[in-house]
Amino acid sequence: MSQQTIEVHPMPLTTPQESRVAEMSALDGEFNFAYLDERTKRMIRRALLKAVAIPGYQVPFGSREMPLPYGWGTGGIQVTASVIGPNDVLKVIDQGSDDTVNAVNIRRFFERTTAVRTTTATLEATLIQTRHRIPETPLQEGQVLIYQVPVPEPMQRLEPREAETRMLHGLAEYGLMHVKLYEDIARYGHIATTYDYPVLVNDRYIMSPSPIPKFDNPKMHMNPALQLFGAGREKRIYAVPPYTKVESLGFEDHPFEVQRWDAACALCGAEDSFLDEIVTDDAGGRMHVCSDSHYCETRQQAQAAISSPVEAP
Amino acid sequence: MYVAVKGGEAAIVNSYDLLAQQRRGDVATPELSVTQIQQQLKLAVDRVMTEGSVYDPELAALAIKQSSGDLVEAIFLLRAYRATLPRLGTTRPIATERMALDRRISATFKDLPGGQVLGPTYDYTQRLLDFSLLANDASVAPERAPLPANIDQSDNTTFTPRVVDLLNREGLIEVQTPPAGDPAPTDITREPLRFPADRATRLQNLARGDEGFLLAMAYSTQRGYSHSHPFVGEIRFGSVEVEIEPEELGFPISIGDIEITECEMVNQFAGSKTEPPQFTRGYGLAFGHSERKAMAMSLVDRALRAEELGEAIEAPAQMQEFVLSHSDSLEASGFVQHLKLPHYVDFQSELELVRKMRSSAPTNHTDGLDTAG
Amino acid sequence: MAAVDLSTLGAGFSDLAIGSQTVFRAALHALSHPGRIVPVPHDAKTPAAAQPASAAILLALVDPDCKVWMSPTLAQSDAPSWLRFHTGCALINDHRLAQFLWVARGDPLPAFGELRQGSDADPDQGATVVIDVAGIDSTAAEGAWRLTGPGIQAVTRLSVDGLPAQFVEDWRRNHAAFPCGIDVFLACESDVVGLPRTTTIEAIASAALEA
Repeated sequence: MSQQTIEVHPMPLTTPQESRVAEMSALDGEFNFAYLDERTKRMIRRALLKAVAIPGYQVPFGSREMPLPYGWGTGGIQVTASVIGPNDVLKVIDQGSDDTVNAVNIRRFFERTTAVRTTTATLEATLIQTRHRIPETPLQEGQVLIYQVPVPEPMQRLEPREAETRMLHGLAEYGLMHVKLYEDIARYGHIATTYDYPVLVNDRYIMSPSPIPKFDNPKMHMNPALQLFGAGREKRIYAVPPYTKVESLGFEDHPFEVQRWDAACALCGAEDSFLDEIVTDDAGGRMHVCSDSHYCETRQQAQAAISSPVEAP
Repeated sequence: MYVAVKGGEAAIVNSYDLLAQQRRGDVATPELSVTQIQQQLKLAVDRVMTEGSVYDPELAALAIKQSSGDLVEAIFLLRAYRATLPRLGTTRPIATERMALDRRISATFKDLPGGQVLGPTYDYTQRLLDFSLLANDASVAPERAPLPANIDQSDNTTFTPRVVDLLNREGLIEVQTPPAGDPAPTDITREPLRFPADRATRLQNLARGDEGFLLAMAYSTQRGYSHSHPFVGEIRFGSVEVEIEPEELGFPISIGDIEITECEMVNQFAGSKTEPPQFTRGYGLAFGHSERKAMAMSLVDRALRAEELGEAIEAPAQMQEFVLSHSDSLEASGFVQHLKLPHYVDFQSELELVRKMRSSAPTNHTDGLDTAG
Repeated sequence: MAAVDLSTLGAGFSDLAIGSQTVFRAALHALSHPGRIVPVPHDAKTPAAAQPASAAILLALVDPDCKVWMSPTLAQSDAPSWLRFHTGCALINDHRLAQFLWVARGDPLPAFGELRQGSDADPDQGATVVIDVAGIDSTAAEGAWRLTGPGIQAVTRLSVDGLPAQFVEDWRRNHAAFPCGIDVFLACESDVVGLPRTTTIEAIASAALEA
């Protein structure tokens, strides 16, 4: 080995116990804005700009250990931390809902480290960090949607060696992906991928949309919002700029199709949203409700306002 | 009437309280101090420092206390702390031949200039539970055995050459020279791993790698998954001086001593088209006293040199991507455990698919379900 | 680089974290909407030889991991000392190795084909070029460009004052090398325009505009 490096601790190793205790308890106030140090943010920002310039291409970046575990949104958190400013309004969803524990935890993290305003209203948010869903309410220009990505490489299950998949992307050699989808058709009569359904971005790169249901795929196409993707464990960032072509893979005789339900949402009656199935008892009772909690609540409130109008004084 | 689940925030706060209670245990028992952990659970502290990539016994002990002794969680705490520390400088290469030795053994050569030093080791203890430790009254530390006469603890500049170098007069062991220009190694904590990774990069990854994973990988090389015939050239454990050389000073200054374990493994090598038959080396280095880690690391390092040495790459331990992409306990633990997060949406999508496939094949219900996932 | 009196150098952002973030967001917005004129708000005291908007972008993006090249007018000004003092970036003389290039108003552009292009496997290694121009206008008809590509809903019109005539042809070649290539920011006093390598630029003849 030509050189050994060790981390040089900012405090001398012989720090008395008392001052170490003081250092630790004061940490909360000592966080940099949005937790990450400025140099890390710059590295991520440069990667983000290249990601926007090469839509769908996975930019390697020096992902850091975050105070949350890998696989729990560290990529999305690092992207959000590098983009967020004091004037932003942040929404965090997991499975479409603002109130699932992981969404709550990530929202708390940013409230604590940036003090920005948070919201559950899709159109009030300037930044939306998401896991597994795109909101039902159409996004607008100027909004940024930040996806948490577990596995950025769409071909990983077909070819786990990254040296190989990088080469295939470089050559735009996507036969492997098409063969896989076609084998589904030969076997089942249809494509058996229901989430994380691969897309072709700007007619060039095949990209993982993250494990969103394929129901959400069409929302990515020509979306006015900027879509950023962070994979912390796999150390990749990628992007879909606004108004960019995003095509779900398919075949002429077996075109891409989204899921449809026979049921409507039991709470708001929506027939156009992605529905979660809720088991209501141990006798096989089930109901369907919107996965997008804010969409569902907004519709319920609107219906309540119509059915019980406030009387004029 | 069904109401969507609320109260995630309250649940999280409650879980913090329950966790604190679980960590503290029965309050009738005195609380464990960080100093006690640092002094009495040294090997755990050393592992956390090694895989946490921070040499700070006090913080490692704190992390162990905070994580209720879950070492992977403790490593996580230390790494997260490390991630945003400012970089004040880069040390000069440590000179392990100038180590103040506590232990030094070689399995290849019986007699060594400088001698074999058994030092503190569990190796020759009989693994019988020592019930006297239950009594918890050992207020006086056992008397320290006198050091061998040829080991001078007071003098850091004692020169004890590495065994493998010392006994390579015949040139039967490969000589390792820095690559041309001695380039600064990639810092894998700041730059993403790119394949193929050079040896300096691989060694960094292995040094931070999970001990259990490396142990299993190393073990596999001994059981036919790669052709490995290793010998312990030398294992040494002790303290070395760490120096930095500030640009404005122009000469090195010592910033303290660190304890390390170093292992050099010697492997038989049949030779290739370009290389004569000789012994090759694998290298392992860990903070503190971490022999199992250093040995496993050196075996895996050697296995990963297959391509460089023109060996067939057939076994998992020889495959760079397989080893380096799966060695990190934080990455592995995080991703395995992320399965605890809600996956309602993906599962719902799969549920619809399975129903659709069953309804379209009413007479043959069980076909074709095995790959939906 | 000659010794420079650091006391004469202009200040950086008054708040490093927020100042850098605000300027980065402007750059991100500009690159996401190619051809759109995006304001770059900042409070840095930038070098006189440079357009303030471009200086702010480099001040926000580079650090000791970056190799920066500057065109002759900038290289002979206090811009190198200013940027290095505030960011610790490495200044280099060989434009072919630079990750960031900064070209002053009126200085000749380095040949795009000589700059870092990245490779098919690593196209993100392509250079970023920040070019100071005299003016940018989205309403002028004379010498206008017609821009299309990702980030543009239909078509964006833009006219730039202060670029050499062969820029459009150079850009066509850059675009054709996709996914390799360079990305450009054009900067005037307080605004920036982003041109990612995905953007197609078509120069519209004046006659066609009038028709």
